[in-house]
Amino acid sequence: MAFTFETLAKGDVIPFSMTVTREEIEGYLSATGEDASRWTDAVPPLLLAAFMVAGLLARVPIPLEVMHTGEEIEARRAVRPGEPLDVRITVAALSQRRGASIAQFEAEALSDGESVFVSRISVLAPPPTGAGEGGDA
Amino acid sequence: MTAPEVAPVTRVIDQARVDAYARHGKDPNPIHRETPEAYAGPFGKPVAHGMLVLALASEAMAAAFGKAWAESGTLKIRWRSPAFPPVRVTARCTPKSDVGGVYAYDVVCEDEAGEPLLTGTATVRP
Repeated sequence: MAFTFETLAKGDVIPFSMTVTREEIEGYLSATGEDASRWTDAVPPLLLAAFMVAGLLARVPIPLEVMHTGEEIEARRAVRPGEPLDVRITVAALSQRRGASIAQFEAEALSDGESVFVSRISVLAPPPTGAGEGGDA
Repeated sequence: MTAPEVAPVTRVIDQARVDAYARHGKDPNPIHRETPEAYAGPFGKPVAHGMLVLALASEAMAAAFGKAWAESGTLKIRWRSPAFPPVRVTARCTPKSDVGGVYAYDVVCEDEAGEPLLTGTATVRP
């Protein structure tokens, strides 16, 4: 099923598979500047969240002006490098405020059916006039 | 009860780091890079990835709690201001409570002027 940001509906589910390799962990940590020696046998939680956002962006074309305004992560157990994950991103809420469109996504990573990580992603599309809230982009 | 102290993490986020994050964090949105889209976009110039700024808070918690952070860590934040590279960012996790062995922290990432770039909370169960 093809998705667009404009046609998303509450309850839509965007599924994909994901595996984080050691090379990807090393690249990510070289970019953030964090000491890689601490992450030899587990995936940094925020990397999981970032890659889940990337998976969403790869499947739902998001206009450039849409801002990432909030983020929640919940690690339920450590994820190992190379561990296959099934990711389900659900459109949890859609709303309008002062002309801006607000969307909340709940992303869950499962390993052999076990929920191992959850991320909640809030984004805001400002109204066409450009008036809106602060955020990350 | 109060949770133990967590050392702050300070790092300069410059355009090279943002460009590296765009590749390795898999977020190639052109508004983060030196592109026409960035200068025509909502901020008028390249803006660092919010997840890159947030990574410093996660790093502070990981340094304090090791694998327990990967096993049980939570973060809940909102971005407050955009971070324009180069910017010197400090992530502070201030002890808030220890309830039943779950340590809670107030989280802020701020620029060199002390302006909050993001605020929120973190928890971990060591």
